[in-house]
Amino acid sequence: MRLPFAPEFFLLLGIDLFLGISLLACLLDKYFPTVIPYLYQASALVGFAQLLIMKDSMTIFGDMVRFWCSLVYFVIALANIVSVNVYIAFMKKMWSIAKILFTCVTFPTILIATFFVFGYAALLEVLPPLPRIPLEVLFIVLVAFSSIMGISFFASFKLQTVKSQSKKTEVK
Amino acid sequence: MNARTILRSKALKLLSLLLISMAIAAASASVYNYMYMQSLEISVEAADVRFVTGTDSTVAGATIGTNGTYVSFNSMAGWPNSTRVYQDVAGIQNFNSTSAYTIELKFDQAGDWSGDTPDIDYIYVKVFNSTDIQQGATITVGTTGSSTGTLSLPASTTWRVQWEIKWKAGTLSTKNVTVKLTLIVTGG
Repeated sequence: MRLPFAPEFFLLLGIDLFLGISLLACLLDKYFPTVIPYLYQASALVGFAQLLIMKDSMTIFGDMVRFWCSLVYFVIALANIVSVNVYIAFMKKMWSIAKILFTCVTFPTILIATFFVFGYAALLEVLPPLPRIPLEVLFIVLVAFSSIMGISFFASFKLQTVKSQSKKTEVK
Repeated sequence: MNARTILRSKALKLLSLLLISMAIAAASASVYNYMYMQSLEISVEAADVRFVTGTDSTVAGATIGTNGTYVSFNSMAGWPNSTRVYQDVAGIQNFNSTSAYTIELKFDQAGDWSGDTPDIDYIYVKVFNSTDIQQGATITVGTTGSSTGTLSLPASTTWRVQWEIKWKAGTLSTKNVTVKLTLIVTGG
């Protein structure tokens, strides 16, 4: 089976994730110790070193070893993203920032990571193949999810209107 | 330390981290790109389109080459002032059960035939499908670039190749020519 990308793709993703959290920690430096952004940069450098080692020993390691080595690094990077989110939420009690972080960074990253890891593992026959949605159903899925989004948008908009009206009544 | 100094130091810190990040990301991507190009494997597989023997193969002295990628004939002969037809000297078969291939049988260049060529009246090569309908144009041996044109050979299908040979009147039996045709296969 020809693989769509080299297993080191996960290593590359992990490096980028570390660099991303490093910049994020720098932007939110009020809530993090000064050393944290540099620690993440160092972790990215460790990943780069691992990439260089794997480049020079590609013929020694098989696809599976390269996959697992890269995956371990990637999972560590993911765990750090989750920890940053948890740290902001529970240690610093910054719920609003934690929610924004979760929706904009943590959740999409986990989603993308799951998709790539499961897809790749299925190609390596480590896991069963991902279920395929028939192309004919995609249009129905699009309509269904658009409808759900529309209903939730309408519901939240209505809730907000009711809240503001009740506030006005209280003021009167 | 006033607010401006704090902001400036924060901006500098961010800028330096951003620059280092860009450098690490670019270096990693270039290493990965190198690895990805290196990791492509060039494997061996059987050709999907191959020559196979036809009903006239024995008469024509056909020998299917290793892996079916060429065929040679060593006992084809024509008649002077009369056309001799070998209806099925060899077949061109698409062994792929799902994909069609584009094929083109061609007399590529003048150097592809040699011998007593002035004594040949004509040699025509035609390709037919299983229902005896000619596919593409007739190849006139000796005419540079003469070909069947591009033809789509459906999956799991065999087409036969027909040769029509005519020597000029009075040609001696000691005369002979050697002809080479090229089969171009694309797609799949």
